[in-house]
Formats: sequence, C-alpha cells, structure tokens
Amino acid sequence: MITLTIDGKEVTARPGTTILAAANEAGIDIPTLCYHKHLLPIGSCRLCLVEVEGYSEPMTACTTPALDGIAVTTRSEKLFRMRREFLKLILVSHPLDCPQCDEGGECRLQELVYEHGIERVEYEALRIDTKGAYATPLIRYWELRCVLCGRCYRACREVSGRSAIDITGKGFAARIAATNDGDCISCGECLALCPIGALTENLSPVKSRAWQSDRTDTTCPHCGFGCRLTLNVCEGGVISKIFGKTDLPPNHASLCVRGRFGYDFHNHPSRLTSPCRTAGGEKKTVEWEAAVQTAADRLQRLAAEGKGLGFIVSSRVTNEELYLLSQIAGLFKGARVASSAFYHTGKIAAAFEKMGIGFDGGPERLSGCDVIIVAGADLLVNNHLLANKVRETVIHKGARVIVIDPLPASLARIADAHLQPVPGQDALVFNALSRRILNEGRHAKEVEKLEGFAEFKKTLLDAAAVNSAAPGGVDEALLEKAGKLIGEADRIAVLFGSGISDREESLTALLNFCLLKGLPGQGVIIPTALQANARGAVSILGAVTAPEDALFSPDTAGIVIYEEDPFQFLSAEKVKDALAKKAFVLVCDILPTRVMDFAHLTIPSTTFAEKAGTVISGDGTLREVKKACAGGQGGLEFLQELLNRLGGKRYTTRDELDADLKKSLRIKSGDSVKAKPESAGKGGFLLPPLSAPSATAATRPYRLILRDLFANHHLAGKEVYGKGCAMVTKDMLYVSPEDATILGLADGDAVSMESVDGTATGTVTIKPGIRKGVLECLLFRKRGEMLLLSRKPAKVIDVSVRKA
Amino acid sequence: MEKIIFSSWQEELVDNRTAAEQDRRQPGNVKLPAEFRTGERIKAFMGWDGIVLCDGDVDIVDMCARYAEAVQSESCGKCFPCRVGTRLVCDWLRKIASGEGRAENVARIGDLARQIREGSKCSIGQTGMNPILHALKYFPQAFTDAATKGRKSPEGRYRFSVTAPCVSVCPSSLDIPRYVEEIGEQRFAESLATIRESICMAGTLGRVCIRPCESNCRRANLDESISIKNLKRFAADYEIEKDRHPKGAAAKSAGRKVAIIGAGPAGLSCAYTLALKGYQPTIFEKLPEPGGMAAVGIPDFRLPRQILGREVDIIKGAGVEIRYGVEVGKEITLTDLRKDYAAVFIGVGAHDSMPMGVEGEEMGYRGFIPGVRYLLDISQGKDPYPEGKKVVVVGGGNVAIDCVRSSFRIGKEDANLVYRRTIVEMPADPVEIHDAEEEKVKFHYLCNPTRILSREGKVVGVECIRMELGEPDKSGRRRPVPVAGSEFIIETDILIPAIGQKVNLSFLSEKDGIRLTKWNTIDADEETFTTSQEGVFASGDCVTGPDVLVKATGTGKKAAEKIDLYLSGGKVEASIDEKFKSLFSQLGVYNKKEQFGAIGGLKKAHLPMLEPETRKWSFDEVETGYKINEATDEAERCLRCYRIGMIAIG
Repeated sequence: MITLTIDGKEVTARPGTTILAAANEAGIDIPTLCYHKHLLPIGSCRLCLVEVEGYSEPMTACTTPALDGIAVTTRSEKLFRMRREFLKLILVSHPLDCPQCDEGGECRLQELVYEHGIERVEYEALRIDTKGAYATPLIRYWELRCVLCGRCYRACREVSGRSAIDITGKGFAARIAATNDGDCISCGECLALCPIGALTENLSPVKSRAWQSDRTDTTCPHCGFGCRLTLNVCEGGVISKIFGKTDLPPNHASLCVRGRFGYDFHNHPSRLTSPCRTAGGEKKTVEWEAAVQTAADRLQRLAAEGKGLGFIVSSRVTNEELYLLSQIAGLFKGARVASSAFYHTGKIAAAFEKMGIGFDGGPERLSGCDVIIVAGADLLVNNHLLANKVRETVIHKGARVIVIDPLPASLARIADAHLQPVPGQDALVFNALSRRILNEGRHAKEVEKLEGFAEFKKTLLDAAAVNSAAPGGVDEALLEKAGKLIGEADRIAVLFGSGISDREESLTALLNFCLLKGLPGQGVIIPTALQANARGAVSILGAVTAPEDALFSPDTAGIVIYEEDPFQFLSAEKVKDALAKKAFVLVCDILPTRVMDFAHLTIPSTTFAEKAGTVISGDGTLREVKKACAGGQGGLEFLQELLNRLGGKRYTTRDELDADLKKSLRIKSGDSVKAKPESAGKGGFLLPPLSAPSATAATRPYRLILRDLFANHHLAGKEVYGKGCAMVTKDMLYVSPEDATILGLADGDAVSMESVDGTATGTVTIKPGIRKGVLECLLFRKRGEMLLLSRKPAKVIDVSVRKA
Repeated sequence: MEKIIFSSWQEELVDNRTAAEQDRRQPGNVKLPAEFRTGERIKAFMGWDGIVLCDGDVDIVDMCARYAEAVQSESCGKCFPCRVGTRLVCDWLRKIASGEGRAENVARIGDLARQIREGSKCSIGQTGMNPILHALKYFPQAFTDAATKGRKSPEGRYRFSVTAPCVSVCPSSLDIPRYVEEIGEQRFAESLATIRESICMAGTLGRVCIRPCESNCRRANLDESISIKNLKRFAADYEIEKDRHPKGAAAKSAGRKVAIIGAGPAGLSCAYTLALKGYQPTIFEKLPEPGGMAAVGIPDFRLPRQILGREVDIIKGAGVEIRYGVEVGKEITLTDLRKDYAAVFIGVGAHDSMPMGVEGEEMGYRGFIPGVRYLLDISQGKDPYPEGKKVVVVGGGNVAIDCVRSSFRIGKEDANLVYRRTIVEMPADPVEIHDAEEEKVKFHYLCNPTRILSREGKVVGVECIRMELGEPDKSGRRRPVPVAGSEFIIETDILIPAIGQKVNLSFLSEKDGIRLTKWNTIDADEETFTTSQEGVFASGDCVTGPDVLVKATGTGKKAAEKIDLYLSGGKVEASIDEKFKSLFSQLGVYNKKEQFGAIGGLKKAHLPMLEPETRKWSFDEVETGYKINEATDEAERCLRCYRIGMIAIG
C-alpha cells in the first residue's frame, strides 16, 4: 500500500490506482463528468484536474497514478476557475433546455453547473443538428444536447462488446453517430451511461421525472441471470422506464434489451382484469369467488372420477406461487407437474446430481479463469450480462475464449478458437478434448479417485482409433489450438446453453470434460439460465416432467396452465388437438394467450411489478421481487384461495407462507443468501457415447436450429405485447454463404423447408460464419409456423430446403 | 537558406524587425529551407513551438486564423477544451481577420488559448495555441489594428501538415499515435488497418523493427517510452489469434505491368502498394521463398517464418505475383524486363558479407563461413558445418548477434562473439545483446581478429589482438586501437565474420546502363527513386547500402507512388507530405529536453519471454506477445503528441 495526502488528509491506496480512485475511496469528491467506473478513463471533460505539490501543471485525476508520498490538492481557486471555464465551454455546445429535458433533476451537467455557480455563458458557436438516425429506435439521440463526453461509445465497446456508435467528424462538428449498421443490440448501455439528457428512452409514451415517480428496486423478470433493476412507476401504476441503478452484483447496473425495454407488456391495454368462464362456447365474466369455487369443483370432480390431472407451471413466476402450486398438485394423487424449466435447467440439475457436481457456478468466479469455453449458447440472447462478464474477463485479465457452436454465436467475435461441430455432435468434440487432456496427462490428478475414471479413460483412449481426424466435423487445426489453450490453462470456465442440454450425450461428454479438468473446483461451470425462476421451479416442483408429457397424455383430463404457453415451444397442431380433448382447462395469466382459446376458466394474474415474492437465479441466489405498483388480485391470491378451498393449508398471512416456503427451500432469509436446494452427491464420470449420431437422411440434409425457443410469451406470445422488443426483433432465417450458392439464394429470397412432420416458409439472409449445412432461425412472429416442423419439441430439426 | 526576421521558436527570441543591420542575428535552433517545392518560397513557419518569419509581408493575423482553422480541423473532438475552445478561438480570429472583430475578442483569445493549452487532453490542443499566443505577445499591434480599425487582413497562401515526434522519424511514416490509440480503445482491427495503410508487414516490423519512434517518444521525458513496436505486434497477432482474415484488398482491373526485382521488404512493399493502385506487379526472386533478408537474415526465434509468410499471403492476395528461383541477370536481364514491363523496380538486398581483411580469409577453409551465408543455411534448415562444435563470430551488429544465438539453436554449445570495441559502442539492439547474454553467449570485447589458423584446410582457431579505445571517429564512437604485442589465440572450429554486408549488383550488366555510386550501390534519387534509366526505379539496401527493414518498407512504398506518377504521366516528384516530413525533420519534432510538470509514474510493459535455458536450443519465438489488458494499458500511456506545422508560401 502507498500513502499520499489529498486535501491534507492522509490516504492509503493500492499501488497502481489513480488519484481519482484513491480520492473516491477516501470519500473525497473530485468533480467529474466523463469518468465512469465501468469504463477505462476517458479524460474528455478535464474537470477532474488536480494539483500536486512539486509539479507545475494541473493533471487529470482520472488518468494520473497515485504515487507514494505525493500531496494532492483537489480544490483551489485556480482549479475552480479552470473547471468553471471548461464547464462554460461545455455549455457552448449544450442548450440550457433543462425545463423540458428528461434528465432534469438527475443531470450530472446540471449539478456541476449549479455547483460552479455559472449564471451565464459568454461564448457561443453555432451548432447544427444533422438529425442523423441513432443506432436503435429505442433510444433518441439529442445531438445538440450531446457534449461528446464519450461515455456512450466507450460503453458500447467496453461493456457490450459492440461498435454500433462512434464519434464521427472532427473538431466542433464531431458528433455521435451510428457507424456499424446492424451491430446495435439495443442493450441501452449507452443510454444508461449518458450523464446528461443527450440519450433518452424512446419507448414509453409517458414520461415522468425523478420526483414525479415511485422507484422500486427489484429483480428482472426475463432471464435467470437475476439482474437488479429499478422500476420507474408513475401515476396509475404505469411503468415509464427501467434502469439499473444499484451497483451491485450480478449486473452492476447494466441491463440488456429485455430488462431495459421489455416492460411495456405490463402497461398493455389487453391485460386481463377479471376471471372468465367459457360455457357453451360463450365467454362470461365471473366473480372471483365463483371462479375459485368453479376451479375447486371441477378439479375435485375429475379426481373423484379417477381422471388424471396435469399442471403446467411457468418457470418465471415466484417461488411463492410455485410452492402453492406444488401444494395444490400434491392434493391430487398422480398429478403430473410440468414446466418448460424441464427442457434445460431440469435436465442439467438431473445430470449434475447424477455426476455429483454442485449447481452453484456464479459469474463472479469467471474472473480467475484463464480460458473460458462457451458451448451451445448464444449468450447475447440468453444471458446478455453473462456475455458482458466474459468480455470483462477477456479485456481486464486477458482470458482466452473458445466458442463451440455451429453458429457464429455472440462471443465468436472475440473467440481465439471457434469450433463449429455438426449440430448434435458436440459430444465427439468434448471427447476429443478430453482424450487430448488424458494423453498429455494434463487432467486434475485428484479426479482419478472419482468413480468411473478408469473405465472412462480406457473407453475414451481405446476408442481413439474409431474416431475421425475431425471429430464432430470440427477443423483439426482449430481443435489443436483449442486443445493447447485448454491444456495450458490453470482455471477454466465452461459456459453452456440449450445447444448442449438438448442432447443427453452432449451434456454428459461436456461434464466429463469438466470433471477431468478439476471443475468446478478449479474453475466454474455455468449453464445459461433461460428463465427467471427455472431454478426455483426445478427445486420447488421437484422432478418436473416435460410439458408435452402432461399435455399430450390422454390420461390427463384436467389441466391447469399457470402463466405458461405451450404454443410457445410445441407444435400448435398437437397442442390444439390435446387441449380440445380436455375435460377442464384452467389458465391463469396476465395477458391473453393462445391456450386461453381452449380454456374453460381463465384467471387474471399479476405482473412481476405487482407482486412480492422471491426467485432463484441461475447461480442459486435467492432474489427478491418487489411490489412496485398496486394490482388487483392475481395468481398468488387465487392459488392461496384454491388451496384452501381444496382442503389444503389455509394461509391467512404472508408470513406463514414465507415460513413454509423457506422450510422447503432449506434457506435462510435475505436476498443475497445462496439457496442451495440441490446438494452435490457422490458422483463421477459417465461413459460417453463414442460414435457420431446417425447422419441425416439424404432427403433432408439441412439442420435447422431454432433460437430463442423459450422466449417470454409476455413479450411476444399470442400477440406481440412488448412493443419495445418488437421494434428491434425480426423473424430471421440465416443461411451460410456456401449453402446460399448451392441453393441459388440471395438475401431476401423466399425458401420453403420440409421436415418429416411439416413444412414452413421463410425469407433468408446470408450470414457468414454459419457452418455449412446449418440454418439458423430466430423465432418471433413466425414461431408457430416453424414449430409445426416438429411434432416433438426440438431445437434442431432436419429439413430439406428449396427456393420458393 | 532564408534570412529569418523573427523567431520565437522554442523560447529563443530573435527579433530583427526593427533591429539595425549590424544587430541582426539568426536563431541557432531553427533553419528553414528557402523553398518548399519548386516555385514555393517559404515566407513563414508557424508550429507547436512558435513562429518563424522570413518575409515581412506575411499577415500574422490571417496566418493565425488559418492556423486555428487547421487546429480545429485536426481536433479529434474527444476533449472539450480543444473541441470547443479552439473553435471559439478560430471564430474570433476569423472575425478579426475579416475586419469584423472587436477589441474584446483579442483579449479573450489570449485567456481562452491559455486554458486550452493547460487543459487539453493531447498535444493538438496543448501545442496548437502556442503560435497564436506568441503572435499575440510579439505582434499585439497587428491584432489591435485589425480589431479596432476594421482592417481586412489580406489572404495569404498556406500549407499545413500534422506530425508527431514518433511519426516524424518513422521511415515508413506510420500513423503511430492513431494506431496506438485504437489499441487503447480496443479497436484492434482498426488499429491493424491503420498500420496497413503505411506498411504491409505489421507482424514482421512488430518484431524486428529498430524502432526509431521509441527513441523519439515524448513519454520518455515523463517516465519511459511507449512500447510502440510491441503494440504493433499485438495488433498483428490479434488478427491471427482471433483467426480473423483481413478483408482482401480486391485486386482492381488488370492495370499495367510492373517488374520488381527482389521479394524483400522493399520489393514486397512496392509491389503491394502498386497492386492496391491497380497495377499488375510481378516480383522476380532468386531464392525459393519470399522475405529477402527478413526471411533468410533474421532467424526464426526472432521472426517466425509463418508470420512473414502470412503477410506475404496478404500481399499476394492483393494481386501480386511472385516468381521464385528466377535470377535476374541469368535467366532474364533487366533490359528484357524493361521491354516487357511498363516500369521496373529494383529492390535487391545486401546479401554479401564484408571481408575482415585478415590473413587466411580467402583460403576457403572449412569452418570459415560468412555471417549472412551462415544465417541463410540455417534458415533453410541446414547446419552449415556439422563437424564444427565451437563458434566464434566477429562483429557487433544484429547479424553477429543472430549468428551466435542461432549457433546454440543448431546445437553448437560454445558460442563466442568477438568485438573490437565495448558493449557501449555495439550497434546491435541492446535488447538483443541482453538476450544473448542471458543465453550465455561468451562476449570477447576489445579484441579483433588478425589471422585465421588452420590445419588440413580446416579452421582451428583465430588469432586476435587486444584493442583499446582512442579518439572518437566520425560516427562519434571511440576508435579502437590495437595494443601492440597483445596477440592471443582463440581455438575454434567455426569462424564467422559478421562485420557488415554489401550489395551484390553483378546481376546488372553494362548494357543495362544503371549508374552506380562509388560505394557500389545503385545511384537513385533520394526523393523520386529514379535511376539513370527511364522507367527504372530503385530503393532499399541496394541504394542505401545495408540499412533497416522499416526503411526498406517505407521507401518501397514511396517508390511505388513515384512509379504510379510516372506511369500516369504525372511529374515524378516528392509529395507535399514528404516535403513536410523533411521540413519537420530539419526543425526537429522531438525535443529531448522538454520537461513535464506532471506525474508520469507508468513504466512500459515488457513482453514475456521464454526461459534462456530452454529457448536457446530451439527456434521457438523467444518473446511472447502481450495479453489484451497489457496491450490496452500500454497503449493508454500514449500522450498523442500530434502537432501542426504550417507554412506561408509565396
């Protein structure tokens, strides 16, 4: 540690810190405008100038290292005057339109001008608004307000890894402009870091300033990364903006497009308000009380008749709702409880259990890793903030990245090696990497004691001969490069998504590989967390089954669908068929869904902003969902009543419910406490499959990969309820340049695809970097049509393709 | 040389405006050529360190306004004082110059200019106001008159150019602050693209450049210079590591054909530039591989062949054809080439060793191997003399160091270097000397060979004499003088003279008519690269004698531009930028004595290296590159010392 004095106060700091960091640490405020702790120092505003004894020139505190023994002055007549003058220069290029600016009251420049007592600006220079388009329609750029501090374009590069905006032009004519068409992912990091009102939220028609709004810190309802965000709620319970305010893990105030702009479903005019019964094809509004009674009666009657019941439960609702549902289901013998959490998180939890791997990989453990493997996951779409963490580790620690994905997944652009296996053949790649580790003796020695090691080793090495030179169709040189990086790494992080969990053998091979390198002890294993509370669902509901099992089974006569929409991931024909045959369908949701067309009873629910509860994030942390605005009775109240009506426990206070839930979760209170519902048992290696899965039929040589299969149906389900997301999302069908040539396709050409189960059409876009023979489909409005291609839920579908 | 009537350059004030004839003097620190280009007389110079006036009729107000315009046009917009401040100064000066100014403008300019100087982030703002402040100080009346009397200043003719200390000494004129800043901002691909605007061999120069830039780096005045070379290497390696492929510079429609002799750095650089301009260059190379001395004269542990190979692939991708194993002068003559090609460029290297002038040198003993030959053999995977175990290399340059270090790598355990002066005078790169010391090369300073000892036609030793240092010679180094009677013998199997190279121009016949210099190099014009034969251009070692790689790449590119002028019917002459470059180098852009009043405190980042004991037995690259965070941190140290020089011409 070094010691220096700042404004006469003795301060200790770590060597290598800047004067600004040392001062901030010691609670001494130095005026800044462009500095932001998530960014490398920019040095554009020149306001943090300080004087150091013995040096003649003032220097910027944000870029000057703190040295042992120096005496720093942050406030002096001279510095004040200089800052005042620079602020005046800033005001030359900034109108004083504070009364009508969104940022009024929260503007850094406004504060600085006020603190420095500037009453007027003597200088002026004409600035011209070029009215250029911004990189995303979700954000408005006020060119004349922009003072070019540089935070936005630096955030775009440093935090989000994009280069969508940049400073263009020189001198006074310099401005921020969209530079790389299509590179913007609308994460809004630029908006978040803009210290003034030069970038404003362009989604909400209602605006309210800080003092006109209620603000509530809560947990994001979209993916399972568990971002903390702050809701800006104005009159009438309308959310007018969302931002990341608290600089705490896991997201440290960063958000993604869904978290920041995916809130308008809450304000949607189609929100359900009262329970509804369908009788004789007619929909009728019913009283709450009658609805609960109807539900109880119908379920009990079916049970009494010996008919089976099924529950399809959302993986986004709170633990409290999940708990009540599990209690209700528990009252019916043989009831099937299903959730979309089954597809990814459920399978992973089961595999972890079997192999004795602890399910607690948090993103904070990335920072110590020197190689990060990202397999079968497009983090940009699934867990954007996790992608940011990876990039942070690369930029600040020099970590290397290996991407294993047939598609040019988001992090491929910073990958040292991008291995592109044939879809479904990831197991062969991981086997090859494991084999290399074993051959070089670079495995963690303690894993030799694990069950199954000897057999695993023998099988893998014996099978060497039967494997091709390019396992899984991966380029040999790239595999060699990846193997070398892995071999030399001390700590490895393995991040994987539904591209892996989709196939059991892929998952097994990946986890074997992890064990071999001593993971998770000597690194970290992080599966993507697709839904906000998939961990909660898997943990509370126990062994969940697949939604199609509950839905399609002819034994299930009555079905309760709680904030889930099977049309979102299953073939519509099959779902319709199944629902039409049910004796009783109960749907509880916040907005109209497609299953409601078949419902006998619908119950309105409340959004994440209207209820209080908890969720468990992907890393196992219990997080709070807070009530930010008043809402009527919703799903939670309905479930509570129903449980009571069915003869279950009667919860009269919330505390009782909380207590029971906590008991079942075996956790303590508090939102930072790790919930560890799963314990790592004794485990070990599982035998890997050694041969490639059967080749696709020659008549259907293409593999169509569906992306965003588990997207939140509240954003885009029966209708598009999230206008913000609709502004930046499109149905996309990508094809590799090689295949485009073979098929004679150009951008914008229509194609038709045929699978065993059906046909679909699409408009292609040529995308370099996709593996030949693979089509990538981003599901949005055409979701239903695409899902018809497979009667079974599938992420990868074999198809034939021809120009339409 | 023009008579200077006023100069405020670098604080040395010379004011002959009103001085009597006998009191007039000339500044000692600044000299300007009389002419910039033919017909363009330099009337005044305005730059980062002051004003130099040669002609009394230059309107100082007008020139200041135009200088401020130049500053504003070069301001990157990334800090407020410079972006906004210089715009205001520029506006006010324009007003005053047009006769619409007011007296208060004059006062404000001074105040604001001082704030811009103190507060700006980089040297554009920090130095851009200097000449204006000098003008206000030494020519106050001119401004007051213009502002109060509403006099419109006459408009002069000006030219300006941007330079920086590092850029001004780079023979390839790389835009160093820009590519370094791009690395700092994590724009790695953009950084490499910037480098490639000037040179096509970023990975090569990023490893072996002698880096004049770093010894002209202003950061050294603060703490230590920036590792410019290593950053260049980082940008090049990043592309390879991330498996990126440069966007192929699409070969344009087949233009006229140009023949290039030699696929060394000069030839490759010339060919690449020509290809980008739409010509069809064909390189004729004697060796079976490209790179010239960079390939066969620099061992793989300093410059791996795949790095060079990749860069040559990019050059070929741009539309350059290379014919290997074709020896001009034998299979085809220069005269033939002139018939078949619209122009010819000669870029052969200095591949012959200089003789030491000692007894036994001409005898052809086994074990006597000239340095360049030794390295060539090793580069082709051969041990030049497998029976030899002990090696003595004579010389103190990079070739000598490469010879001793390569010796370990082909299994010679006893490697010695004999140099007639001391380590201080050694011309080799200090880093290379240090690495050789780490690898336990035995250095024998202050001794010089006098006789080769042999037995049965093989070298068995070398007789040396002790030297001592006498008076400095014209290179400034102290001349070594033999100590009489101090002869001694070093036993050895292999003796390698590496005291210098020379150019072998035997491929030119009299019929070709290329005029040579008295040093047996091609007599080519320094600025236009033209030779005594029309349409034949030359640069690189064959013109300058053995010189550094970065100079060959630089002149190769410039020569290509001249060939373009020649073939497109333009006047073959130095460009404005090149003229400014030589003007700036006369003035001196880097001021070693400049003192900073600020804290530095950031040491340069060194590259990680393989351990001496393991690396010395293999050709694996000794230095490994920066990690991303190391590179960005290092780049962030750059002070971005851009500055603007402007001349008034008449």
